[in-house]
Amino acid sequence: MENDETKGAEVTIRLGAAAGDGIQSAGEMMMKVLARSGLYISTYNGNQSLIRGGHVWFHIHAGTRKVYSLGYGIDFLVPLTQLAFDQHFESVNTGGAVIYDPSIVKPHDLQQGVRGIPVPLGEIALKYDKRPIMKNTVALGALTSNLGVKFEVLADAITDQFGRKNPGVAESNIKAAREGYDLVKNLGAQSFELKYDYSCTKPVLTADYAFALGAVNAGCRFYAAYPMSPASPIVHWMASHAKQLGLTVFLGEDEISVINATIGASYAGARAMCGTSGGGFALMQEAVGEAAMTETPVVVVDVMRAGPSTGLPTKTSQGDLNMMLGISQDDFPRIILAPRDSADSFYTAGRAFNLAERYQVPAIILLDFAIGDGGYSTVEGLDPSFTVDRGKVVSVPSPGAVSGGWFRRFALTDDNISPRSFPGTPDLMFVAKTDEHDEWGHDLSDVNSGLKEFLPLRVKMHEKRMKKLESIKKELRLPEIFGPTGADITIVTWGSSANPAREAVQRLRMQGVSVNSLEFTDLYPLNESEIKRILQVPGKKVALEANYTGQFETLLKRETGIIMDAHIRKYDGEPIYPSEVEKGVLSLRKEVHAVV
Amino acid sequence: MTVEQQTRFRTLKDIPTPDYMSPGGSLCAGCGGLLAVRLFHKVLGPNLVWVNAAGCLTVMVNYPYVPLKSNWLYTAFASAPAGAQGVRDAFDILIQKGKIPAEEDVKVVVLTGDGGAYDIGLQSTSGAMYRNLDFYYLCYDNQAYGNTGFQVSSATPIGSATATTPPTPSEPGGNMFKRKDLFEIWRAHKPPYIATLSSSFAVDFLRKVEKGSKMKGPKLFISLAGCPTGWGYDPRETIREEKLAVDTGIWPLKEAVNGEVKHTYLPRALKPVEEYLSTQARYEHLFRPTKRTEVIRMIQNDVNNYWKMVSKDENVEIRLVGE
Repeated sequence: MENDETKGAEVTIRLGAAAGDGIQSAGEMMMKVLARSGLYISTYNGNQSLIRGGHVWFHIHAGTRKVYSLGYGIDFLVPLTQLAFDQHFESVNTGGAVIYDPSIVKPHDLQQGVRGIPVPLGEIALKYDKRPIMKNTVALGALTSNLGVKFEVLADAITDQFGRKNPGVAESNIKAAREGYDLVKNLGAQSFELKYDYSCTKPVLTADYAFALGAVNAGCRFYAAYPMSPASPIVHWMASHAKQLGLTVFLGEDEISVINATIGASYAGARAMCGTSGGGFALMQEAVGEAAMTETPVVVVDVMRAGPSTGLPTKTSQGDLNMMLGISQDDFPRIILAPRDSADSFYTAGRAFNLAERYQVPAIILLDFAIGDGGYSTVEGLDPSFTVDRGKVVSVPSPGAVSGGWFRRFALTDDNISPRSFPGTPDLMFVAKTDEHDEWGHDLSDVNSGLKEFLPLRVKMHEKRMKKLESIKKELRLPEIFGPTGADITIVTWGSSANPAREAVQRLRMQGVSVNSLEFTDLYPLNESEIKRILQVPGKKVALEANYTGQFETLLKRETGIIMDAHIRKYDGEPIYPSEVEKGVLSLRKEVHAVV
Repeated sequence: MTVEQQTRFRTLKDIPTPDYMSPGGSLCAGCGGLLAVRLFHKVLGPNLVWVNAAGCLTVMVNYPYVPLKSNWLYTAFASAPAGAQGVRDAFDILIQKGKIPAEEDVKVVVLTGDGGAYDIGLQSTSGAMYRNLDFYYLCYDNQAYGNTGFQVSSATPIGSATATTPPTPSEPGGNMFKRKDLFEIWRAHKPPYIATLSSSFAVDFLRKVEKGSKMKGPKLFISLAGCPTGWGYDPRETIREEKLAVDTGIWPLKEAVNGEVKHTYLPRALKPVEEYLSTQARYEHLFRPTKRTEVIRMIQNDVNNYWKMVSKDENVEIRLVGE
């Protein structure tokens, strides 16, 4: 299925500098330039939580075919500091180039086949401002010229970036960029040209924004959050559009407040969601159990970052899966979904709401820093058509549903889902009890627990909740194969680890390796029998994920008994690179169990 | 004895030369929080343990640019005072057992931003005050969650734009909630000493920390922390901004000794709040494209009402603005 997608040209660019040099906005401008030249995009934001001085970079992979991940190596390195050069020059590909300011960067040890393109970035920038802050735009000019992209596209991107604030700033930036552009053009140094199509702009989105859009599109009316990177872009977007979208944005004093407000909103009838990162989720756990016990639907998004504790606040990880599998105390049903990229995130938000409301359970979405905050990828249009399914919400009591003024809110039913009402509905009053309760919401705890006539009732109520998992698992999405079926090696991925695997699969197949990947997005509950069938492949299976213990690999083994032949695990905080996957797969081919 | 006789800080020249924070840290240029920490440290001397919960100053401690010459313990966001409790108790036990000589005792200082003090950590602070823990609390109040991108906190003043209260066509005024009065919340617990601080009034600052250090039990300080990145002004203007906050009456300098409140600086005439608001980008929407007189007036009225009460309570004449 990827056959046509392997053809086409691509380019990888990395801009590196010190925090405060404006590398993120430069990266975003460059990304716009390439997207507006008709290329597919995938980016990674290598930032720091330091406010100034830390080393930061922005990586762009662009191509005339679909790109999924960060590509291989670097074709163009633009280091604005010596440190940026030292950190990244070894990754520059043969045939690639380094654009640098000779007064700042000494490009020692450049590999053979890598060209140095000296451009006096600082000197040019100083013509337009007292401080050389525009050197990044000069560099963009040089880069755009080298790529053979029309200057007008860059000028537009600059206007977008600065024009709203101050037209004068945009104008001088354009002039500075133009000088860089012309200088490289006159050098005759243009080295790279892809097939550009200026009539075809590719929309790009991060998974955080796509997720927020998807949630609102699916009828989200209440969003709650407490500041925590890398989940904050979601609340920033929600807050700036709240009134326009008819959305209530609640900013609590901590994550305990955030999730309880969300549960409150859902109980009272709103489609409600909250978001955080792992550390904040740790505070929410008790309340997720509360939502499960009161069968109040709730959607929580966790944008994962490397831990434990505050860990690496601006670095990525897939390390929160175990926490989600073991949220709070004792057993209760939950749904765990992990979209692969921006487009997937958009649709997953909607699915999560419908599933949570239909089954009256907590639904957890796992995004991660790599795709969430600053990880832009091309979306080929998003389909806004969506049917809101609120499940068994009743406003009129059915026969036998009311007794002594109380609604049989937790009725035992054939499908284990009880009718739900919202407070204020005449005759349908109930207590949402966090203690164990009977069908009417009256407690089994304290007074009656342990009495022999009540023991079977506790068992029934507990089983009613747990049995929902059987129905949910039939509705969840099965893993999808990328590449042809029946390969010698299958890379098993979940969430964002699908992306580097795809690029590795494409490249390995071009080298004649028989490989495909199997992408899990719906992690819990797993449909064991179907998954066993799918994974009954003659080839070797290698699990790919960004954590130490192989959290998904362990889940898969626990639920299905399937044992992987090898695994590739990464936990240094950086995204998984396709080259690392390739290396792991190739060493497996030599019958060596690989650990990268 | 007058205050002048009790204190070793009379003029700016009395600011102690020894510095327990090295220059060259990784915070924003012009950080008012850092200034407060420096001054605080000068009074208390080198023997202390900072107990810190997530915030801007967390980012200060980044190897190899760690500017500290004292110990530092990170805790979970909600629980710095609880962490301080453990440290204090352990030192007490060690001293009691004779494992540490009493003169080697350390001061335990909780250091958080306003998010940690006003929001998530309030419960933990309340518990520590209730238990009469012998500790210091320094809150550098930059009036939002600065470290994560300037989101609203319950210390954010009315009218301020933040990442989560952006001025929009339907909500043009920015944040529409009034700040919590943390000073009064703390005071309700009746700790021996509470004070508000600003580095722009350095002598007042040093004297208050000195005064608190002579007392046993919880000693709590809220320092205004000018924030060039979040508030949007030139980093060199931090002192000027903080001074304006005091002179307009927005940031009263006061203390409470065993619950009794006294203002340590009484402006004879307040400057209009507009002079302060108009210098910061977080209030830009109150002036451009159209002037939001109603919001500015609301802020001015709040300030006036506050100082009317002070006039009455402390029996002083203060000239208000527009009245």
